[in-house]
Amino acid sequence: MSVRILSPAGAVGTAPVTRAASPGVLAGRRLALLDNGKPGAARLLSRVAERLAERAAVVLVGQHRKRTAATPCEDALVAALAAEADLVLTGTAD
Amino acid sequence: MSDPRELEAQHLEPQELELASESPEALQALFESRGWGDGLPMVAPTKERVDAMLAAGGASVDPDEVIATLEPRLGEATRRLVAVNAVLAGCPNGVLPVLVSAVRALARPELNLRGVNATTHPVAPLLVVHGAAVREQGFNPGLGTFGPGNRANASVGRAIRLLLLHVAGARPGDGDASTQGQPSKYAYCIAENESASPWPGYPRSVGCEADSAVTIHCGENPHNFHDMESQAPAPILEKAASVMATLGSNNAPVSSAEFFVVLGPEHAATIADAGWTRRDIQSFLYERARLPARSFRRAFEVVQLRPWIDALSDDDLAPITDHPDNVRVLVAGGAGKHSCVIPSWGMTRSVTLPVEP
Repeated sequence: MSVRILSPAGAVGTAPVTRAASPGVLAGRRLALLDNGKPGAARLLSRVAERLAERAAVVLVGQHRKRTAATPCEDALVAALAAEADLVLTGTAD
Repeated sequence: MSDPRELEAQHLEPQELELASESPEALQALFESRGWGDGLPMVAPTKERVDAMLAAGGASVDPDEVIATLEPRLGEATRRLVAVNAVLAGCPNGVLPVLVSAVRALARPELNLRGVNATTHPVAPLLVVHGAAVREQGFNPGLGTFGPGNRANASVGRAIRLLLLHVAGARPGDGDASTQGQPSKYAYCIAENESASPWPGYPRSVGCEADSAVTIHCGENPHNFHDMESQAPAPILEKAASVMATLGSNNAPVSSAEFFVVLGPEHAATIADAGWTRRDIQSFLYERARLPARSFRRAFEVVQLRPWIDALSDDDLAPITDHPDNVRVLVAGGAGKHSCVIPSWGMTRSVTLPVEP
């Protein structure tokens, strides 16, 4: 015999953030780097930024570092990134 | 974090579901099809069972009030939802206030649940139950408190994990990146053995005077230390210090991190008989759990929140944690000469709250 049960998951509280549209052509776009503090992150991001500058003519405008990978980026840093760059390159891997 | 489209779909999740039969197999199949459950058989959360769990919770409180929002899914935890997961886990009726209070603790910002759930580290929230609730709800604070064998410890610990999976979205892969996982991600709940403790109950050491309380500490599995022969505090606690001073835990690169030191009653009695207080233990372990500064420098490219280590010479001993208050001491377990250390994930602080409906 079938039974009714209650869902264990419930509602999601905050509407999900919509992702920004793709920047399209990269030439001339301002690129900033956000190092999350993981070992090797700055090295990897710098190399990728160099390639993007060579091949797609992006303009590197800043390199920043979060306090720690374990907590969200500080609000002031997010605001600074939004003001100075069209693109932000970051990573989360160990 | 989950894909936003998936979050949107979950937002529309129906409150009730049709189950072909109440058999464990049917429930398991439904849950697996939705990516729910912890892999073990569950009890079907029928309205009757959930209502009974809510009714046994005591006070006349709103079952649909949002008591916490759990990350990374941003799931809204209500008492009814806590009760659903308690039924699934096989909890006895009556434990709801303990679970509700634990959920409040999980949502405190200093605990950093988003990071705890999302990290590659195998961290799991340990729930410690204190005070009158231990006896009233049948928790085992004595022999085998970490398990197995006691329904309240096992099922309440499991309910916490099911809430993290279902409400917080800590599913392995998209919400929980733990490289290997760990056994305590199934159930991780103990009770403080206050009647066997020579010192006041743990919550009082952190300013909580309630009759019943819960503590959440987000850490690794316990690491046992044994001392069968010592009749003085120092040789016992040297072994705890040895367990703490390892480069392998996150406490090494994160100097602000806590350790929970859970003393068996016999070790606690030996230490207290020598006149030592909880504070003496904290200070001793802070002084003894150290490594040469050279070890930290060689081991880590990134050492967080430890700028003062730059002032030390290679041979200077650096503490594994930067304050005695980060060493949290309580008594649990039964007869025998065993105790344990539970290292932290690092970027999280333990939370102790009164048990409230």
